[in-house]
Amino acid sequence: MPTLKLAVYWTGSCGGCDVSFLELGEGLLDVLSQVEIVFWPALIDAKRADLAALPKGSIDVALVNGVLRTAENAEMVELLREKSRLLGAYGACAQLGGVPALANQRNNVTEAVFGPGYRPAPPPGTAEDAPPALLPEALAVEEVVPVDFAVPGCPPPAGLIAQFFQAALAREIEPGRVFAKDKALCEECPRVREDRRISRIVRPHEIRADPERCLLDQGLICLGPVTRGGCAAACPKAGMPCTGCLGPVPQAGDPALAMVSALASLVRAGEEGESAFPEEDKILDGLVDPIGTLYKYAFAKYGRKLLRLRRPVREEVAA
Amino acid sequence: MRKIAIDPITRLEGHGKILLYLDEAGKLRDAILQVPELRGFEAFCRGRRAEEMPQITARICGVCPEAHHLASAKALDAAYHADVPKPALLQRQLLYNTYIFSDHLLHLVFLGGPDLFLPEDEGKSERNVLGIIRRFPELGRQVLAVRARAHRILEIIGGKAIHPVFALPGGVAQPLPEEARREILAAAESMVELAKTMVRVFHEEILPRPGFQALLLAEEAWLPTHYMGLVDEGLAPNFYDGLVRVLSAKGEEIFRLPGAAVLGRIREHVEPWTYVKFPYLVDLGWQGLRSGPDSGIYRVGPLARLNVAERMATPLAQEEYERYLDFFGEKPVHATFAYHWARLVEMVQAAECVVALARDPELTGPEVRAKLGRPDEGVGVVEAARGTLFHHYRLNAQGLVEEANLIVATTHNAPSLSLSVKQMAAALVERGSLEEALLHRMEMAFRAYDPCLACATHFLPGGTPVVVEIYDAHGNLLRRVGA
Repeated sequence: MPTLKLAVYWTGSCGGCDVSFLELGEGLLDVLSQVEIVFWPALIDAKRADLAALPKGSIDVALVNGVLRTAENAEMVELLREKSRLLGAYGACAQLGGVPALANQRNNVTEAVFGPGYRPAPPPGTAEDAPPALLPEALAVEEVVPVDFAVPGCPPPAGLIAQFFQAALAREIEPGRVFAKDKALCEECPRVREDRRISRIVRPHEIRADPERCLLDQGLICLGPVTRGGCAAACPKAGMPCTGCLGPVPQAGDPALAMVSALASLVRAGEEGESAFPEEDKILDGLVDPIGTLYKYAFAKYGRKLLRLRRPVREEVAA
Repeated sequence: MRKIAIDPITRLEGHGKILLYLDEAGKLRDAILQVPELRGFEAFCRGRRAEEMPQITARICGVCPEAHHLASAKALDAAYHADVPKPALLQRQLLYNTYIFSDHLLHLVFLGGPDLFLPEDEGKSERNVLGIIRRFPELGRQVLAVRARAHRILEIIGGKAIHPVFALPGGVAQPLPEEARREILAAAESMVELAKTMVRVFHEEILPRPGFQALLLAEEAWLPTHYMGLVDEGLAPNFYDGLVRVLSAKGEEIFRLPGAAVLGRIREHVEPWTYVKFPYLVDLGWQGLRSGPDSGIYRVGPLARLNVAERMATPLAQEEYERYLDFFGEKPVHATFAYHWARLVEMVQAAECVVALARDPELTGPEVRAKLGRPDEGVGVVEAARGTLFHHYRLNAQGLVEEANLIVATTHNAPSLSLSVKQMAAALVERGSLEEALLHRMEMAFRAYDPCLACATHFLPGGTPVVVEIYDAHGNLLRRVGA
């Protein structure tokens, strides 16, 4: 079998995805001996021009990490798509938008950072070389080009990276595959679930969580029930709720809606019947910053629908 | 006018570009560092739950998430008026010193390593970490094994090795079990052993090379600026806590203040041609991109920390610090390439600190969370591997973020990075050497600062990681080097 031709590229990224490959330890040297890296700015010297010169479809597998934030990011993934037989989203930003896509909740990032009226411009004495314009919204990769598979996580855990390389080297990546479990994170969490009735929503710094009991049972918003397994429940084991970096389980769809629905059925004010609703509403008021909490990594992919829904209402109000 | 674009010279959070402008006579007119990436954390942190900030801001940098995680936690401690209990403090400090060790090791061997371990005339195909491993096989194996053990410590305490989750306002998520301490202590001892080996190799193999000494003392890499870093009461560097000390280019103390008071003494200059801001000392003002005692420009990071300190905090690091000072003969040390040596001194201190912290009986104490007060405003400062890092939040009564301001290490150094590159380019243009030497030397000057993932290109065999495009006065491409 010929050596696997691999490309790795980062767009609006923190670099954690690139570093995550090191978590394979000595396994990385093993993998590297079986692939030919044709493009990977963090590792080797190959330029955009080298990539552009490759024949169409000549890269076996391309991995993109990072959110699409600038016009240049979008052009690069289009170029990679053209050159690659399979293109995968590596990490939460590429797959779902990730943390930086929370910026979509508000407008004009440049003005928010640099002050009102800020416009990127060329350096003094020159007519070009202005920094690239930002896209109006941060985008997941699949919003610009078709994506064949995903290696999820923030960053992907070592076990899932290893599974990806195993499948890639065996030429066995089926379309649409997500390299994580289909079952919820709860299935691999060692914490004990009990009555699952929430009479108060609490935040991690407000309580000292019991080390053995389910965090959701203790009133913490843990996204375990709607998030894929594959990390061995790293955060709940460390005493912190899951915040959903492996993305929603296939049956959940929109993770925020799924979680709200799960919460609605868990919240109990102790009463029954209609009189319970106002009390239960009050409990749900404890869910502050619902967008940041429930869409922490998935706002690019799922939040847009929410924004579109909201827009007509705003126009009505304006009228 | 000719333009030379070096794109990408660095992978500063992924992307970076250096532009050199030559005049008609071929002299350097200007050099700028452009950061074409912006993710806008300050914008979207508004409205978030305060306790999420250590996790959200960690996503600024996947190479140094620990620094943001803990700068954020410290800003929250202050905003909630919390007095972090000793066991929680020890957990944080232990993780933090492990991170400094691991990050410095990554740079010394993997990223900047080839500039140190290999002679400058070494063939391109060997100028990478594999080349180092071939030449120093024992050391290479030891480095990989110890790095894995250090990362295990980060995982035990942080919950995840990349993007930790353990810190909360007023403390950490949970107590550390006794068996975890034993594993940590054993790993920490191997870190000290490796630090000793690195020092030995440095003095036997690297420092004696005339080429390396020439680099350390090179005029075009001598940049007089002011310096900033955290120091403890005894004026030793402290990565996690202390007072911010700023020393002038002439070695006089400009101020020594708690982090919150320093923010009023720094301002950020904004330019439309780059997405990085340029910080400067308010006392001296913004006078454009220039160095010297009258400019407001200062540097941070290992070189700066060793300049603002009067001693190191641990014995082996102190020995190495003395050798470092003996070599340069005066303080402050303005040599940009001294960053590498300073990094080595700090790596020794970090390893020794981890052992001491792992032995502290209070590390495994059950009290890991402080009582929280009513939230308002807080500043958190740490020394990230690359320099001083400020997080400043204003919270509302509900504990949601109203305003977040972050000044990160590489931002403090952005003006100096530009200056160092300009200096190096000017010297090389003067000598008429515009090709490989330009690429290589400028890249080395840049890499000395370790601007995040800069020049990680050395991981594997490959050519030079920069492209230089030379344009004539009409914008036509004359020559392309390095691609």
